[in-house]
Amino acid sequence: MDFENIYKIIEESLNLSFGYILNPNKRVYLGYIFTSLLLALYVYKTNKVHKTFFKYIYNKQVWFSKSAFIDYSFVVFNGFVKVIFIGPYLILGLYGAYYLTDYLTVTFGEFNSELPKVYWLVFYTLSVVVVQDFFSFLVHYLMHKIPFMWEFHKTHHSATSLNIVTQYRLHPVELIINNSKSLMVFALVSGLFVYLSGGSLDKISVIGVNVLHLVFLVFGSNLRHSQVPLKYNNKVELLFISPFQHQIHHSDNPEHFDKNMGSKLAIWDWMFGTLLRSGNRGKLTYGLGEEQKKYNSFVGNLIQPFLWLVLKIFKK
Amino acid sequence: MRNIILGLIAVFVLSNCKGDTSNDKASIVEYNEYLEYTINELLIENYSVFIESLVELKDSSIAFENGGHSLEELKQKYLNSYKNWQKLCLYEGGSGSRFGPSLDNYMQKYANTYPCNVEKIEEAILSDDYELDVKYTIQGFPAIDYLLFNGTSSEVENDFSVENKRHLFLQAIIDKMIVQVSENATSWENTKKDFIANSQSGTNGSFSKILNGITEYYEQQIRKAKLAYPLGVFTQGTVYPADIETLYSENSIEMLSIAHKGFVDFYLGKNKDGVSSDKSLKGLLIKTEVKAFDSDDLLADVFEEKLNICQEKIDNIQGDYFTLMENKDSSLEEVYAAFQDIIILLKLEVFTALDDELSYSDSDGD
Ligand SMILES: [Zn+2]
Ligand SMILES: [Zn+2]
Repeated sequence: MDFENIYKIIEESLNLSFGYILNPNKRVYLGYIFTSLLLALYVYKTNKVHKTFFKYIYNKQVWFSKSAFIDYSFVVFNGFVKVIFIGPYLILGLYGAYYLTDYLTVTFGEFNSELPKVYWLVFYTLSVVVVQDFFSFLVHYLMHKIPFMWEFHKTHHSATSLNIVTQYRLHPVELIINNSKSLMVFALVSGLFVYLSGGSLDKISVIGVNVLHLVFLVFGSNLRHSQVPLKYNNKVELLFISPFQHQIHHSDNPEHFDKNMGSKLAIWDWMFGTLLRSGNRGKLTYGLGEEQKKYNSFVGNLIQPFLWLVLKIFKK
Repeated sequence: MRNIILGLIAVFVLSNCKGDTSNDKASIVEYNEYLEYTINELLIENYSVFIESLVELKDSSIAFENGGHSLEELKQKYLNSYKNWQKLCLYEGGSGSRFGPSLDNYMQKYANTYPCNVEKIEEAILSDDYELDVKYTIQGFPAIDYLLFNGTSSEVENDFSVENKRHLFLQAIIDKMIVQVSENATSWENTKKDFIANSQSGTNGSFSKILNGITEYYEQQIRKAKLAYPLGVFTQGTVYPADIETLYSENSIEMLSIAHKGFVDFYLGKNKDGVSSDKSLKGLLIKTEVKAFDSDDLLADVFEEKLNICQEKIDNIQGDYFTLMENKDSSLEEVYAAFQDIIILLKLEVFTALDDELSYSDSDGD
């Protein structure tokens, strides 16, 4: 690898991670930050907080904590992981979808659908969100239940303060697992729908920003990792995970362990018996509890799972 | 750690101050040049060549009626204009992704709907109103193919001499093509300025419309209609050899070859003198510097190579197309596989290389 290539990778990686705020596919896109601020303002008003709104949002202990700097480091580090290990393989999602459509066509013959394109578009949009959401839940659930996966997921839970960047605090192994999952689901759902719709769903509708996903982005998915306790109505929280429910997920109170593993929909947690609604829980504290001290540095977070693996192998 | 991060941010901000160097996609100017070249040098040119050959066909059909032209001469004119059609129809796009005047006037319906309906053709010949605006299966080249090649030359000549209405019908369906095609040719002349001016790179830009159009055209008109459908790929293996193009004159392989060659020439931007241009799809692709997935070579070159391999496979088909279809000959299966390679590259890699809006985005945590 020559110098020019290395420079290109560095440039691309930094452009990628710093470009999130200008990318409407990303939660920290400026537009969604703005809508999140509006929601935060609503919470601020209804909770009658005794400080200025600016101080409420701009809490130095949150934004300049050691935990936050680990978050920031992961954004930058994972930018490189994405450019080198993920970006070049994203096209596999399209390949998968194509081969599935082709396989279905050859095996079952062409599917002639009478439904107009707009119906397929609606079905597709719904399915992709629901199926992606289910698999997000499932992978997250497994990360909490399987010790080997939990070691990698600890990186995300070792955050002791939550800010919007904490969502990017993921061990590279978890990042790769999440992307593989998304590609697989994308390939399955798109491949099936392109086949069923007789090709009337084109690439633009398949890849374009999903409208429903957009709704979640606009409605405060940023607040999931924040100090703003936005709760939904008690009944609504059976269907949708509120930002506060995810904050409970990060709580270091053992009563809250392995709860609320859903992403958008709460129904999976409900079905698996892991749902906790907001209710009155007082102030939450976050982190891994006793184990926390091993995870108070960026490098610690990065290598702990591997140390655990090595120990595991030696013990046998 | 804080200092490292602040340092990184500083480096990043500074590196961006010297201008954006990471823009791999083609610029508006390049799209504009591409469109200007494609419309003026390729599309308009193909229209005029085709119309000229259609008019010759019309003249020949009249001369045939008057005894001035032999059936053989008429057949040659027919084949000549059919071949020119194979080069032009690419510039309509696929049925669902047409661009330019073809959006309102899809010439394909009037020129090349096959298989034709023989019974309806015979019925129409005897009627006073052919209803050519709605009955697509009785007109165009497939109908002429039937009229001129159904039987030996003396049988066909005899059919024409017994029933003068046959001459009138033949001339009417050629006229219909001339009308439809001339309409689009005029329309292009009137609208090309706006079409070329719309050189933004997004989905609404003219370039994107062409790319979508020719992709569907390749999938639908070349791969499916000319080969995969009669071969049974879309019908769980049941073959439909009678649904091939030029069933009567048996020129299917040549038509397939010319149509495919037309696509290759489009990719290279080859003009009427056979000279390639960098104001072509290939040229734009080279500028992106994108490499093919799983390869160290430029996508632009890999794609060209696949096109050439496919062209070679088409030109190597030996024998009678109908019989080859019936027997699902391996040479046809090979061409189908070559089509697949091209469509995969085209739909998955060429598209993503050229269109910012079409890159699948990565995911993070929840
Ligand atoms: Zn978790
Ligand atoms: Zn979280």
